[in-house]
Amino acid sequence: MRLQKFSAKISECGVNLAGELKKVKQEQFNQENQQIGQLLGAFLKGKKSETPAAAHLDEDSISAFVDGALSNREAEPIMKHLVGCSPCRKITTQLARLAEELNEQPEAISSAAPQTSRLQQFLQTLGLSSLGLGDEAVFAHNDSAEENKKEDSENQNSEDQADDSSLKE
Amino acid sequence: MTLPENQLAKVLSGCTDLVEKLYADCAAEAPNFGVEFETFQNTLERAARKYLFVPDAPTPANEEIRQFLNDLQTSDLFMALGCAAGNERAWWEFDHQHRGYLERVARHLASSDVNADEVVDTVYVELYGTRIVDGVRMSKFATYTGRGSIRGWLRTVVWHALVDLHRASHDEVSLDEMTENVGEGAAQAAIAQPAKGGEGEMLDTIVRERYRKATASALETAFSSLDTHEKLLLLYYHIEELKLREIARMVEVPTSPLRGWFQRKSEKREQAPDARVHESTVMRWLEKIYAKVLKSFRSELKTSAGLKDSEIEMCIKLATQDILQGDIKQHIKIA
Repeated sequence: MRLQKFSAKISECGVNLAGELKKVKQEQFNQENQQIGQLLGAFLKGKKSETPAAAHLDEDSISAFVDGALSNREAEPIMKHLVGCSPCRKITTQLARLAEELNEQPEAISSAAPQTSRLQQFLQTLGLSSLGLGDEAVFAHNDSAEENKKEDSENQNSEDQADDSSLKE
Repeated sequence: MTLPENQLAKVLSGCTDLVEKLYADCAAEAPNFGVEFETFQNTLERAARKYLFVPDAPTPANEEIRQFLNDLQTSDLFMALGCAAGNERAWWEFDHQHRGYLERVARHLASSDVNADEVVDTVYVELYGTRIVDGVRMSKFATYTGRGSIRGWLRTVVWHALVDLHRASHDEVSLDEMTENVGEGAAQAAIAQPAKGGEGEMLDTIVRERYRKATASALETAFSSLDTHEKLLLLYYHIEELKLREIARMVEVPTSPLRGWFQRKSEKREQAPDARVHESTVMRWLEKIYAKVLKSFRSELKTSAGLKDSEIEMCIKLATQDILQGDIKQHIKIA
């Protein structure tokens, strides 16, 4: 009986000891990680940016990468470039931040009507108004003006939702 | 690998049926955009050439090409092609769907010296294209391949336009020079700075310098030995100072390459590929890299520099002290 109790106590001590040992190891691991993290941070800050031989990444590649749309095969050369090219990396960083900030501060989207008039203004500045580019010309591509109005109204109502969901892409 | 044009056409010819189907779907959805099949096909080929046929990689299998084509944002691409050709209906549709978003991004990014409306107008001019080369108007839309979403692409275009406008208003230099030396170049390596006092009484300068050089060299070797995705994660965290939350968001998309690399052997990912990446997950990735670096760092100091364990600890201690001293100096400067 006493032996059993003694053995149970020993086993309890063993469990406690193992727990403590695990804790100590974890603390040591955390401390080492913190140290090497600090060293790496300082090392990387002092490391001169390599200028990659290839040209900077274009908008298409940058946005596809930030979107997470690329497969491993496609992303590998882009990641290699980003490791060596500080300007391109900074752009991806800012775009990643931007996507998050836009999600955090959702805004109402301006209505469709002023958009159309601004398009007209823009096209006028490009001298395209002479090509008949106005609301009438645009609407002429659809089956009926009624359908367009209906579509406009639906789009306007759902634009906020659509915008939010596309930001989450 | 880079394939000659005729071989590329041969590889892609196995996907003609799919290209035809994608075109038919787009044309049915937007019959008034006036996009010719040939233009559509050429753009898809250009996209495949750009992303799939990369140097030093094996030729992609037919299945991979088909997957690539299926993943393209063909509706967005179709609209972009219509806009690039100056199609009125495509422009109207683009304006209707994306102007609000474009304005929102511009308003968010624009600083006091650059007007958001000015940015939007500049982007529209670029999208339409005013430069004529060999009788062809160079529309920015022609550079969009459909690999990412059109809104992601627009964000990048707006960002670039804003940088250009900002530069113009400040007589500033190129993007390289503007972003170069911010962070990396400007910051001096705290490790390389000679420390004064403290352990100096115990170790003479020569020994200290020896340890410093060995530490810097071992760190360089350890960093070089990392995989590309690991290096990039460290750079995002330590140099660009992206927060764990921001990195987690960056890899939120299940197909994100960084996430893909880190979780490629994970059972969890196989079971739940869409599972959210938490900040703690990113921290774990970082810890794994730290452990890898530490192992390589110690081994390098032992084998190449011939240091004993106690000397390796001294190297770490000295480098940490140097960093702390650098930080204190910086704080004093700021104060």
